[in-house]
Amino acid sequence: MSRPFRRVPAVVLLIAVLLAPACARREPPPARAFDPDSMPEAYARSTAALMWPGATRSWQITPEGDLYDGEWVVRLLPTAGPDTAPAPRVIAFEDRWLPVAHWRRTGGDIRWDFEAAGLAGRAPRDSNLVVSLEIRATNRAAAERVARLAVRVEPPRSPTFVAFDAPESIAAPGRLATSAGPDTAQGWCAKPAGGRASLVTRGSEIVLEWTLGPGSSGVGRLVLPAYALTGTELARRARTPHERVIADARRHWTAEVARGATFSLGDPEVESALRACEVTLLCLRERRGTAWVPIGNPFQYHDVWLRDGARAIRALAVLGYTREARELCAGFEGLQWPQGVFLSQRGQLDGTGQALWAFEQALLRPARDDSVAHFAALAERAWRWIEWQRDLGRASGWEFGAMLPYGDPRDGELVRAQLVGNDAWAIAGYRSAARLLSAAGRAGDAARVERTRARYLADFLAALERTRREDVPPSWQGIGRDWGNLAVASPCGVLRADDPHMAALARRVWALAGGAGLATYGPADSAEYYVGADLGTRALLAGRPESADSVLAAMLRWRTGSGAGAEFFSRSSRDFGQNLPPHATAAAALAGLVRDALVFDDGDTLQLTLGARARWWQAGKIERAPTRWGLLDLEFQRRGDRADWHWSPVPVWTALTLPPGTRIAGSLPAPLLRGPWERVVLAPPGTVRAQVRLEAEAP
Amino acid sequence: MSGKRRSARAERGARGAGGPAARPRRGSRRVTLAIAGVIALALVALAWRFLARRPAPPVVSPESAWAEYRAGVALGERGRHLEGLPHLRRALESPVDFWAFHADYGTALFNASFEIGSRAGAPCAVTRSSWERIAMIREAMSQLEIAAQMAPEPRERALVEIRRADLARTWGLPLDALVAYRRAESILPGRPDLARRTDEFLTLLRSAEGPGTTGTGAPR
Repeated sequence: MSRPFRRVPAVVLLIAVLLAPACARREPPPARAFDPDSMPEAYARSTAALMWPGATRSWQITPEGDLYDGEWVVRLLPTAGPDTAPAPRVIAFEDRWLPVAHWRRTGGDIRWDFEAAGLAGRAPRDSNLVVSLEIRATNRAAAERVARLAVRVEPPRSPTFVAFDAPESIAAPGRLATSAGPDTAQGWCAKPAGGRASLVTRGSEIVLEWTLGPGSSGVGRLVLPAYALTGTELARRARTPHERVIADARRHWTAEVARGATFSLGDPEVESALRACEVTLLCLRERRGTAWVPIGNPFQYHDVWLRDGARAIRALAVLGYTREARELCAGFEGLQWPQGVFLSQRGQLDGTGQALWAFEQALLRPARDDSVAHFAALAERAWRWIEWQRDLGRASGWEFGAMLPYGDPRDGELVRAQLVGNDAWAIAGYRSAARLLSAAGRAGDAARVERTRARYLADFLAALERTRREDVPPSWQGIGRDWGNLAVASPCGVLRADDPHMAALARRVWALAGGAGLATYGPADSAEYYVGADLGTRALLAGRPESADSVLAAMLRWRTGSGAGAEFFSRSSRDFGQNLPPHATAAAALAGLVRDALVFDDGDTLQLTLGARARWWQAGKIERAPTRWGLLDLEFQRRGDRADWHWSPVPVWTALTLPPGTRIAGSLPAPLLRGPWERVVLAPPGTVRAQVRLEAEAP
Repeated sequence: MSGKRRSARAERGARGAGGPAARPRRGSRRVTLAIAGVIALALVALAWRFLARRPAPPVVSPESAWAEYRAGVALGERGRHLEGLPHLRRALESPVDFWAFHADYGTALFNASFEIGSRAGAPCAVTRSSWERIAMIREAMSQLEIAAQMAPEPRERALVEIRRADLARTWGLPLDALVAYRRAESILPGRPDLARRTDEFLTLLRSAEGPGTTGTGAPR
């Protein structure tokens, strides 16, 4: 008994030694080596968000290079003689995901480097995000130069957004403290260092000045809380050196992304994009008492939507953040009305189906949660409300009476009509309710819900027939913009992915954009980042991975230097206007599409490598991916004319998709079978390894 | 940590006893513990009962309840619904249990869920997010339900039903609204204004399609 116990420390030590090189590789590059302007930036104006989970305000690093928290603008005016440094070109996160922000402004002979990161609050429930900002002025001239930085705390002028708890009016400028004291201030300004430096207070403005020799640098530092603090508290916060704040931020976020499922694909762009999505989704959560709720965005969408929150919950669940996803489900409970409907915004009747879908996505992966009976009961109430609506509608005898009544969502379809997406999501909600009830041991109730789902599905198909449309319209009346109808096949599972209506819809939507990629919203020039991602997953399921890959490529391209996607933007001017990134659903869509391309588990078969890029086949590896059949590890590799898969056993059939441009050569070794498409191989339950000989696909 | 403390205390107790302590019989110790536990539970139950029985001091006198109610309603009439809520809540805390207190508190909650104020000079919802708005609506519905049960006259019950219908209609639940309008009609049959209201709404329901509300033109 005691022997193995004594050996444990040695084993642990050995494992630690073996893992050390792998862990060391995860360390981000040192800040000084990081050039923000080397980072791609898709949009005409660069911006970034410094956020923290549970913080009630975030800091926007504005395209001008200032900081704004929804109440105060911290204006930074760097000058060198007559030259004022222009706005930064790129505001970038390290490796385009790690939220240590860098931006550079160059004016005259002085280069200004800015580095900022958020500090965690003092207490676990502290909602005041405090940012540490270091400013480094470097003289690039061969002679001495004077660098001057004026810092002002001003009320915003025509703000893009305002914090929910900002006062009614902000007339007077704020102030920065330079010494401890009981008075509150909007920030702290430390004494500058390097060169011959000085700090002068001129009214509400602080001016830092350095006289710098050739090649030398001066350093300034600001500590900026999202809510004003006393001078004493600011002085205390400022005692933590900037370098330590940055090191802590790197350590914290590196650990955070490591605790989710890991995707090693040999594709740094995709891996970094996934991490950026994880950071965004983890940060866009707020507390309400003991509950957590998902928010759409830290700035102009600082609110709770069922439609965005459901996507965030699903993404967190499949990325391995099970606890966070389930906490958000508990937050959704507050959005259920007494009669059973889930509604967060006026006229958005898709919320009920989305809430039920989100519960199922989070509570049944990687294993049934203890709270499933409770959520099954909520789902049952929601299902009863929808059935009641359908009964009333059917009794009316109206043309589309069996479908949900009209909605005016002030979003998405932008019409008042009976929206196809509302019914599609409701049907998805029925499937989820049945799964939740079944998991709660209520097989009879699950079967009853399934029967009503079959009837609803038949009514949906009959309604689609009555529209006489080749595709799937946005509303049963035919009007509106494409939105909820794009989700009919995936994730709603109402029509098969290869249904001709869905194929026609994808053709119509992509034709407007000039090919598979992002969807168009309204005017042809207006691109929508995430709504077309469902067509990407549909393409994967329909055996069209190249279309899905075009969607993914567009999503990867249209990101900021900090790795975030904007909801809408102009294709020609590359401007997102006032619709600031990051957007939670943009992050959820990108992460969801990558995950679906590798692991898809919504049906009765586990589908692997549905849309794995050729590059990923060099040595793809996924660890701890939550599925409906437990945590999954997967390795896949193409070596010459052979494809290998090695994965955790599951109690269902597994469908393996071959690498792009290949097909099965010769016969398959037992127990593998040919799948429904030429490029798919089926493995029976319990299989853990498969090897298939390949040949080039016929052109 | 706490386990160590407990054992240290036990050791001290053993030393303090002086001389070899007689090993207590396990059975008698259990009985003693059980009796002590039962006594403790009984004391807790008694204390609870005593505290629960004590009548809560009236927070608001009946006279001031009416004043609070009128103040809350007056603020609502000026569009300051959120500001009126504390007044209406105080009226509800009084011993006066009047159906209109519940009905008007519910209505004020509903109206406040749409109230627009100003922050940093920009127009903004006075509520933080939809989560708070729905919490208000849930409470509004509960208050209207109480009012419907308390309202003594058909005219008043019909009024409550119309408010429920308006709430459902404004939030985009047209069939829920239709059912409530019909309930109002059935409470006061033969009232042409109620019948007209239902008919107008039915026409809207039948001709479902129309331009959507875009508000500021923003996608949300």
